[in-house]
Amino acid sequence: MLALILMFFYIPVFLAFFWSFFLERPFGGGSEFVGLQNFRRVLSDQEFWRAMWRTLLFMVLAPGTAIGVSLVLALAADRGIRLSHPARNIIIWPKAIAGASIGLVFVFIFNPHLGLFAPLNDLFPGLWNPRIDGTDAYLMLLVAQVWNGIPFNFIILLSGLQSIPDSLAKAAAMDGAGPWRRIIDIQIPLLTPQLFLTFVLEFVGSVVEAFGLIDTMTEGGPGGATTLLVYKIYVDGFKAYDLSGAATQTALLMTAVAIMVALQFRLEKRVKYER
Amino acid sequence: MAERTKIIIENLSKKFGSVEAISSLSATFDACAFTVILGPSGCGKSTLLHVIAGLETASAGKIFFEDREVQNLPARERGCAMVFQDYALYPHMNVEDNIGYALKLAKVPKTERRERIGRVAEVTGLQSVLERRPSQLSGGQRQRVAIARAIVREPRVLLFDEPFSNLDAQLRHDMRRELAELHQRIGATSVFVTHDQIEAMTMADKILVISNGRIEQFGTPDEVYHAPESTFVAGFIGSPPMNLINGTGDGGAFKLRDGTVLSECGWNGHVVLGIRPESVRVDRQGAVALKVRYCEKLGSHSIISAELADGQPMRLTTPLGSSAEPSSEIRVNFPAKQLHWFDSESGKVIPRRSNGIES
Repeated sequence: MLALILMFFYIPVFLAFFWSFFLERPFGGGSEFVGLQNFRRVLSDQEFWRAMWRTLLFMVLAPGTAIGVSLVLALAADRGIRLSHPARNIIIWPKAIAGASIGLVFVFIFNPHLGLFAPLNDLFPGLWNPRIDGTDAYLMLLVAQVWNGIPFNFIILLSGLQSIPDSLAKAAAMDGAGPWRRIIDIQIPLLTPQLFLTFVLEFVGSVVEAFGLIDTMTEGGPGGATTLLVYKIYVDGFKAYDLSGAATQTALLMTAVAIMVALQFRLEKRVKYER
Repeated sequence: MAERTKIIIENLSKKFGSVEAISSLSATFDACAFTVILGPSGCGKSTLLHVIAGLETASAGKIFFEDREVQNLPARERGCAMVFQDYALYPHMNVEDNIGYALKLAKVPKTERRERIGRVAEVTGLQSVLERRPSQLSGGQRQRVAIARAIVREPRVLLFDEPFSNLDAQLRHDMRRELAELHQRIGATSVFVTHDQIEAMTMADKILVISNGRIEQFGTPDEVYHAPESTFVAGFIGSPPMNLINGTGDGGAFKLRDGTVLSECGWNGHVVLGIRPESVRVDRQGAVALKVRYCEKLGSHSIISAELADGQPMRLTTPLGSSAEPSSEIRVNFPAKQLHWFDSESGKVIPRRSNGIES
């Protein structure tokens, strides 16, 4: 187990940082130490900053929406509203679908001529076309990512809600709190550990898992509108053979993610409590 | 002082699916009284409390608080407060916020809120821990917070759902006394659910004994102890409980299956004789022979488990010092005035008036 973690996690991470200080030749055969030259090159590249901005926006929007929707669904299922029992099972199924398949399905659903929005396009021609319009493509990517994240978040949040003792809700009801007050004052504060877990996982997932979706749905287009940093690294490294540039961007991306996760952990410590 | 509110329950039923937890129960809990609902686990006593509170809806029947019909109102409009078995304190709030949550919801201004929290904290001895979280409190302190949270609103009705069952014996004893004093002071109509008969006997103005969702007896602790209305009550109250001996009334005598005569008896046919363990008198010239099986020495008294001539078990308590060796024989008397008679079919008491021996 440790050997596997070493081989597939720590060594690649180390190598990414290591290579970012060298100039690699595209077809192998030696490398040259160049210090911070790679960083200087990458950081002065407008494309890099645009991809970074798209990535950060995606890192906020996708987890936020995915968790928000999951939370509403979990609260509804926890209250045992009508049909919540079959819904509980149905919501979990999409977890079994691979990212690439989701991408293909969504490409069809969002197809401007055949998909869900085709009737809308008949009324207002040109309103929806993710193949041409960058914003539409970005939205499509966002929806696919959110949809992909809901099942897992839903399970975690629902189990968190159900582990809150029943008597707390009853005590709050006796204290005069209606259902909405109970959600805001009791359930959500007590759900903090689960919300935190889903947020960290969604956060990292929005960087990593998005790759499969971009690759099948948009390939970074149109006009680079959906080129998140993770996809740009892939294109630079494996299509343009700029291995050093890719390694440098990987190092920067990892640092950014690590800083944000660390910030989240600090935040979590503040709201922590013991049951 | 809280407003005087009596609780009237009329033909109340509660079903969970096809299981009837409470069946057509009627009772009136006096205003400002401390009523204890007593019964074994699963008898429907907590369900009854939750229906009164509004946490469960009644399947049929009516509940009145004074003259207000409440069975269809949500919990927060009924004006009761409740203390839960597991305290149910909000773990993410400190003691002050826990106590003040109801006031905050009722939009009581902050200065008044602080003042009322302070007053209640003083009554319950919590002034020094107001800033702590529930996880930093001992069991007794948590219990006090739960009680403080219930009384801070000055509710008309106070409900307790087995609040002391998670405390150790000493603390339970202290809390019983504290709660009894508190009740004297605030005087809200209180309903207290427990399976612990000592709690019921020591704190109650009246005890409602229920089993299988039906009332077995509703009376003062004295009545419940000294004049049980059914074999269930007789066998449930008292530690050890009343001895219940099956036999036959035959020609003015109560006989066991093997013909041994235990006492006089006013009527014929199958009956159940009840006698409290402390009413049995050990006497060398006694009329009844018992075979000792086991003797528990408790210091202040001893409890002897013995067997009647036909093998029915019975227990008696004897004063300090007197004890008996296992498998020895002792002789006892059953004082006629201390005997209770029950119908062997229905388990209901046969009223003393109709007992020819007494009066």
